[in-house]
Amino acid sequence: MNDCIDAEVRDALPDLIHGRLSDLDTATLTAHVESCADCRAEMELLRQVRAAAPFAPRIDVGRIVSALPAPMPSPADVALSAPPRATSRPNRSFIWRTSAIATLLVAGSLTFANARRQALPVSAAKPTATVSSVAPAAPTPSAVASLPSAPLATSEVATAPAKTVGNSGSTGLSLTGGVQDLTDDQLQTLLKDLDGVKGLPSAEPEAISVGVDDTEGLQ
Amino acid sequence: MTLETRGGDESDQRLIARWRAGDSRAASLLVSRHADALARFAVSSGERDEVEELVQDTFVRAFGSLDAFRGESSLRTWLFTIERRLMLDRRRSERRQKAMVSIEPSDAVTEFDALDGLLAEEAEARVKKAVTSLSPTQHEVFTLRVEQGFSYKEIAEVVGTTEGAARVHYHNAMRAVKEFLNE
Repeated sequence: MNDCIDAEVRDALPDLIHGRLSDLDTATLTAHVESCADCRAEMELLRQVRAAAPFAPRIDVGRIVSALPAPMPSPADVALSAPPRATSRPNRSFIWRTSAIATLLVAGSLTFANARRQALPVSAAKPTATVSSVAPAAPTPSAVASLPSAPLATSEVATAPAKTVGNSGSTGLSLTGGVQDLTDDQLQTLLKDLDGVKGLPSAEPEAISVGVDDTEGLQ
Repeated sequence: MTLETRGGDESDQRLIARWRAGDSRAASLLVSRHADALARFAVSSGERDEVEELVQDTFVRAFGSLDAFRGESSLRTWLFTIERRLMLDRRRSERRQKAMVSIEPSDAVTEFDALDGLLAEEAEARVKKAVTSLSPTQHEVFTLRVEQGFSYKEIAEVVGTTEGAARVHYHNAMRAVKEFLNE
């Protein structure tokens, strides 16, 4: 029995028998062995050596396990062995909170946009309508109701004296900025939540119609 | 040639962490994963009596000093290293107590064959004899390489030598086995 001249191949033959080589190496080596009589003989010898290995007695796993010392847990091991679900809880809570805030922002934005849409025909039909010409010093209840911030129902906004609907582009209230900052996932969540919203807050239609002096133009 | 990493469904490292956290099933999985290979190595190395006790002592020793296990080598390699030291301790102890020559691996395996009956075929018996005729170091390296499928690096860790020396021992052993069979 001779040795193959390729020492690297001879070195790898036991690994081939034990299936420890990559697929590529296994294919390469198998092809070599098929064409090399020395390697075929050595492979056969290795198989015989494995087959001739003495039999070992069966081991009682339970007996060994019961003889093992008690473990001494460390915090790192407890953390490593903990199921991954435990670490995802804070994130889930954060997502829900973010979703709730974003939903409120979007609802406010939509209310504001709707109020503007309702207000535009009024001012177009009659420029002197109260909606577009509310005096800054004395806001009427109707004007306050038509403010974009009305749906938020905060007392601070309700008593704000110097904001007009007609100049809503410069009111300084930016309710859409938060939406632009949201990620795609958060927007998807928001859209799902919005599907469940039934109707808009009671602020817009009646608030506009109540404060108008001459409502005939609207008919 | 690149070697594939050994691995089961769950890594040994993770099972160790689970056991440390109080999960006894992790210990069962670790023991059942490595016990048979340790028993085969013990028998191949010439241990005849109390192989199960030897394997048990190996696990008890290993689990008792897991803090010393850095994970730089595989758990399997580490277990084999511990078992090998236990076998050497046993032989030294037997030699001291009985004041007799320790049993060479070749003697032990030959006797095992006799006890095991005449199951092996003639060719297989010759191969076995060729292997048992190796020097203790060659026999150990050859067994770890061929029967256990260890890499040279793993063998070096178990036997306490260098990768290059393990390679040389293996090739010398293979040459000796071939010469024995060619006679």
